[in-house]
Amino acid sequence: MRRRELLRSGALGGAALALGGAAGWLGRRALEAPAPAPGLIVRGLAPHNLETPRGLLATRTTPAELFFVRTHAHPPHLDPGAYRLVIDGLVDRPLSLSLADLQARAGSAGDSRLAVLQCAGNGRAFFRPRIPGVAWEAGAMGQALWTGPRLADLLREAGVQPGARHLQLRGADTMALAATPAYVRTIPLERAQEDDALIALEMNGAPLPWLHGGPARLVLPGWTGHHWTKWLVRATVAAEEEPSFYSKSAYRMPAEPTEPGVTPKATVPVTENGVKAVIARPLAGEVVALRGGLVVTGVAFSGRTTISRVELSIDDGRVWMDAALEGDETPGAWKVFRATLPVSAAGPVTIAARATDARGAVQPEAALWNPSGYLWNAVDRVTCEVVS
Amino acid sequence: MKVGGLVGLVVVGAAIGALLAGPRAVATDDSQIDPASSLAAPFAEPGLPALLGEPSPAIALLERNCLTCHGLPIVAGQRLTAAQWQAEVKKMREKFHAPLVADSEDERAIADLLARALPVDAPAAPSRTLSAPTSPMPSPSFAALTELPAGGDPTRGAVSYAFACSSCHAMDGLGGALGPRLLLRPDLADPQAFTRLIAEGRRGMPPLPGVKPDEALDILAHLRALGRTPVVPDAQ
Repeated sequence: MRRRELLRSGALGGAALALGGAAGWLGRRALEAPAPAPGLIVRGLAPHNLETPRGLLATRTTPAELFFVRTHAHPPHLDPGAYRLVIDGLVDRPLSLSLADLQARAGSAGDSRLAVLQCAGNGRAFFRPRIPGVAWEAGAMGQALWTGPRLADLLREAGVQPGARHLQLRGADTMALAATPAYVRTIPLERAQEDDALIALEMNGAPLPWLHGGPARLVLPGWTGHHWTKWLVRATVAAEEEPSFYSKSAYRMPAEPTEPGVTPKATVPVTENGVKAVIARPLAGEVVALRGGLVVTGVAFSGRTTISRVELSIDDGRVWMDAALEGDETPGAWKVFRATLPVSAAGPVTIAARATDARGAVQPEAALWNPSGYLWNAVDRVTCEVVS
Repeated sequence: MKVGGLVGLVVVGAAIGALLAGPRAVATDDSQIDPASSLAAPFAEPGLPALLGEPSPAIALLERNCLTCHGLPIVAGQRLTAAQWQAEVKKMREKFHAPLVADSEDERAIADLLARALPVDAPAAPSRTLSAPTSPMPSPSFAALTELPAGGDPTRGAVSYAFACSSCHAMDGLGGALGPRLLLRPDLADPQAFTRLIAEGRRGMPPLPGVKPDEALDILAHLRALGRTPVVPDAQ
């Protein structure tokens, strides 16, 4: 029995990954118990904050039902028949678009975009000293094919007026208490007018699921998840940034490197994802059988650029070995990496992974410490147990 | 606080979908949370006393002031110093308008409770998983939250609502200082469970024995009818 389970958890690839991941993410204990079906890790309920187990990450697209969920407020149920996206503010012709209107504007251009969605707080649980907030580990990220009209086209149709500099985005989700400020995101207008910004109506070729913002959400490739407003119902063109807590206080990083406990002098908004490789398999504590070496898989991405290299080390960074990369050369998309490392002896092995992007940025040894625990991207390390 | 307490904690109950009748899901270490129960379980969080000790006034304060807006897992997953817990409670009051009085006994009691139950050096909470929801993710349909329930009269319900509910949840059902928004909430999906909620109360909401079951159905009809009109947030 034990032997058979080992073989199964070693037989990775394609559809078997999900099964292997299920057996693996509980580490050794899973070998002695029936493997549960794969599922999302609960970080919060009511509202939902669900994390994708890292063992399931190494695929070109993450299935919607395994895709992480980040929610600030209670998700709204929108009647698809009555849904409208309002575009107003500093525009010549305010728009009120139904789902059919949006679909019509998506059709001919065929705007589909492969892009990583990562929560700004992904990896917060790894910071020391510890930082308050949702205790995300590795899996508050995923990649999907997003489809819908280009935001730039809608803004052109509305006619942006001179003096406009920002786009204030509102979802239909509401906080439990009326006194709690609604979640609003402001993005620079010039970012909204770039060709890669979409109003997604579909995720991986199917209607956008409710918990992922259906019927419509913003897609802003390369930028962190808090910009990707779900249940988007209003986009207001404005001269100023929306002044709420979420813009002025939250989702900001120190402008200069800061020590824990020191209040930063100046802060800047969190925008682009940093360069990052994450090991999917083996998992920490996983018992791994050698298959011509130690098979390692994972994903790597970097902001609005592409990944040019992923290196792995099994000797604490003295020697780095290149992993093979698979995936699209689409800025803001991830690539799956894969390598068979030269391991022949049984015992614990610590694997380190670091990515380099097309701009030459290299994943750092330590993530930049910041008081809210955003953008963790330290060299990823996983210790597994090799059996011969 | 023992690890066993943490294991028992498991907090499944809080979920977006509330109120389907049926057994509460209480997951144990490395067990799964069944979406059919977790997404539809009553709002009560059966593991709460197990995590934080015996039921106490401090736990009641936590429920009333914190868990109205978010369930327990987001709290229970964190390990912070006493100073950090104090700062968190203060932040929730200042930035998110939790209904606490500044520097009050209540505020101190909540921070002390969390610092005691979830100190920075406590073992990590056991990982709990939610079975992969199918796509589209399970949720009561728009129709289930807006169709008039059998036997409920929205016109009578509007009057009952004004007397029994509006002081906390606001006349428009969009929520007030004390009670959350009600329109399109999954709690509206099941008439029986809705009636029970009114009779028994939940967290900060007191039982309303004066509201009879048929009157509760009227209130439900009123709230479902109100939910049909889309609310577009104002421009800032």
